[in-house]
Amino acid sequence: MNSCDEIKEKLSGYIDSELPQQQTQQIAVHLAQCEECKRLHKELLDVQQKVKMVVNDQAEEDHLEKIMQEPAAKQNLQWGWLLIIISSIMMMLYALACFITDEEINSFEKITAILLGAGGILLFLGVIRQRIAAAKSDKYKDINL
Amino acid sequence: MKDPLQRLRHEAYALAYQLSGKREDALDILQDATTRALTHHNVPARQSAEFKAWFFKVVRNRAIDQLRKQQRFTHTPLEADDFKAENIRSPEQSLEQSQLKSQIQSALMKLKLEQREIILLKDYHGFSYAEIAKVLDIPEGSVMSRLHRARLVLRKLLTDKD
Repeated sequence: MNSCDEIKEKLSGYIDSELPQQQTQQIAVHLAQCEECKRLHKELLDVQQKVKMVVNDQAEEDHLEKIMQEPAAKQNLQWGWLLIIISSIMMMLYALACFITDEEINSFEKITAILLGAGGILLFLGVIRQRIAAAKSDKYKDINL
Repeated sequence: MKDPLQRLRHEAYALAYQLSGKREDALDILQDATTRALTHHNVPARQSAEFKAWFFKVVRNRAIDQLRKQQRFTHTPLEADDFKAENIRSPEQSLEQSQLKSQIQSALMKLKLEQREIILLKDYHGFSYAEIAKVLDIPEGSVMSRLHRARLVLRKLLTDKD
């Protein structure tokens, strides 16, 4: 293997260290003497470096995900949600109490409104329970995508 | 100890994203591949060396299926929604750096799929030629020449911009 064309064809294998040792040595010797092949070798290395440069940005995304999973922040978020849910329930109970004790609204309206509300709550609970049951029996639940 | 499948997901997502050019598609592709890895009967053991190549092969094939379904499997440049300078840049980088990265990314997306995938499998995912042959289902002897030709095309795309 001596001609420049043959050497050039194998340059990718050379830079990836995938060639047998004898060929690697032959190419190294040739590169020391041939400007044209040396230039192509350098350009291929440059292309390879550039690809690695771009794709390194993927690491930024991983870093971001780690931040999103940060435990202290997660705890804050959990407490935040809990407080919002509790206060929402309290507000709804208060509104219900005001509604029931309001003398300007007649009993029929009160009863139908309460039944409507109760029906809605039961549907909501039903869906929640279905979701919990599905989540418990999900064999893929440990896979994080 | 983290499941080997979970460890691979970031890398596999990167490949799916680079092939399809769209984040949502990449997530779908990853989902499909993961499901297959969990349910298929002929899967190599997850701790084995063959598993990574097998998993990437599934991801790659799913990406191609996705592109075909969307009729985006052509040899013309791909339009990727996120590969713009403003999306790639992080604050520590200079404008020139991020513009360079954007140019490189854009050149990568101009490659034919079979050129882009082999360059990424080698230079990003670090597969050996033998492993690349398995992922792409091609003879090992043709990996070097295919990769070399792809790099020459990419070199031309990059130098034409200079």
